[in-house]
Amino acid sequence: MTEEERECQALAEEARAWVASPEGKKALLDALKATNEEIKALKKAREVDPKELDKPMTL
Amino acid sequence: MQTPFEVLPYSIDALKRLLAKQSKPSIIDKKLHSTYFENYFDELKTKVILAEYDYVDRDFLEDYSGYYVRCFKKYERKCTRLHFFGTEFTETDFKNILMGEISNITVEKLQNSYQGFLVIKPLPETIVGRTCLKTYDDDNGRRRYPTVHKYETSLFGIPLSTESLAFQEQDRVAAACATSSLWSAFHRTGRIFHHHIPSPVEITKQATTIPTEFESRSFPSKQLTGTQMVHAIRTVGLEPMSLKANNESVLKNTCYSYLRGGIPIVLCAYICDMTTTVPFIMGGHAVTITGYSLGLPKPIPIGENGLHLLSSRIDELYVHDDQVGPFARMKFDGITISMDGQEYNSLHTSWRGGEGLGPIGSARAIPFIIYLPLYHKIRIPYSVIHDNMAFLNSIIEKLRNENKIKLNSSLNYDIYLTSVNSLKKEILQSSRLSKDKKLHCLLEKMPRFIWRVTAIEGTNPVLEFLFDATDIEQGPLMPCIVEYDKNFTAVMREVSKEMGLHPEYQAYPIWPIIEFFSK
Repeated sequence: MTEEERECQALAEEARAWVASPEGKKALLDALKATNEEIKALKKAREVDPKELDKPMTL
Repeated sequence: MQTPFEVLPYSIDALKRLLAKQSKPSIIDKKLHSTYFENYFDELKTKVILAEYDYVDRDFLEDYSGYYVRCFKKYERKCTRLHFFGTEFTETDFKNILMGEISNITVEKLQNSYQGFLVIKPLPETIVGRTCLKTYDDDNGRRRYPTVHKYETSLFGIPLSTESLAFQEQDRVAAACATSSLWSAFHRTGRIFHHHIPSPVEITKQATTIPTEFESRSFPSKQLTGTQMVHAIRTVGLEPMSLKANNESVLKNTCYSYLRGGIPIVLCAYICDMTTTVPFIMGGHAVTITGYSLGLPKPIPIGENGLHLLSSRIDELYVHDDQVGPFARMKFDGITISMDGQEYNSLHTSWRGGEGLGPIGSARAIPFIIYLPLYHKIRIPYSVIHDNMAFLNSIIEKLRNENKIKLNSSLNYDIYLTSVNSLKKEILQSSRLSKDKKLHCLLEKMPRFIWRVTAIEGTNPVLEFLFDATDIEQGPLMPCIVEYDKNFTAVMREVSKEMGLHPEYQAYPIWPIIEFFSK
């Protein structure tokens, strides 16, 4: 294993430990919840009002 | 007897004279197309127009047999086709080429300087028929026209070609704006999905088999509704997908992701006259989105956890607007319009308000719906991929903020639809992948349509996801990940292994990605 690979492995393990920790888990779940809210708003923004399908294009 | 062709030095006056031959100069002067073509041919540096008389145009012939032939007044059925060249030559030079004599111009020079053609229909007002013009240059990669393809023509035996997408003006008889926009879109989808390309009269006939609530006869055609447009898309064997389009991010991201895959989009918008104290809606209008400009310097994220999408750099859409011209600009300039107590995003257009007398741009477009004509196997919509990436990005951002992953800045995401052939062609030419990885990717069995997501740090790709666009939403979706940064993926693997142990994460669409990384 090279020095770079060792450093890389150490960082990966450090990241895993943080994810396993209560504060890491909370931070990730909070981030996912916040994204979920943003996605809900986007879903609404994409949704077609069926009435719009009956609007004539006249110009 | 009229000669079969005429060669004229290009000037807007010469063009207007040719356009007015079957019409009237006063009508041609009033048309937005005249102003548009003047700017367009100036930009292309057009030098010569070659008018080919008595030209038989298949699309006009269909419209002619469907309507005009039964009129009491006798309408001509043959058209004039104008060819545009970026090099100077005379009628004698051209005749010499045809006769095989020594000429001041060569066939090769004619071919290299060819800028496309415009068919003039023998009608009193709506004279702009099938038009295939070369696009503007790409301005160092800013302007993109992914829906163009090669159109080949023969001019008295001389093969000519141009990269374009067919455009034509509605004639208000066989076609309204919606028909013209669908016709242009079908010229592209017919090419990539191999379906019959119907003429305007055929599109209108098919669309109007669906009745509407208001009085509307099929011919003369004055309008189509969204439902009728959706039906016309189904008739050619494609699946229509509709999306609300007033949210700027939704419009930009969706347009980019499908256009890059070569799929044109039909945009319906309200054209709003801004010359009056209170803006008022002139009517609904349909255009075909054919390209875009990545003019903004960097991506603009949506929300706190929003993705930095490359598509958010779009500042202009290029549309075939049958009332303006081919590849006309619609610009995102951030101006909203207040109406009935609501704010609507709007786009700058080349329309004139004030009953056609206001300045260019005095009527704006309020986009409200887009229709995507899709091949039936393209089942997974862009939104699914976007949402998956948004969840993944929120995890990556948390890790970055805690210095648990080596990233100097937020990742930018490039999400678009592609085909297995385009993807493998690109992989074959790639110098970024290792030999082993390249071989693995090229030999990997992949679906015909793929959602490709490249996560980029600065200018360097970090990771690439390939999602199966033909799968079902609850399926595994992801056949392949291409790793460019081993450090990054090492962290993601360890993090995913840990997350995989906690069922709380299963509630989020990121789960398939966690499973994939933790394998």
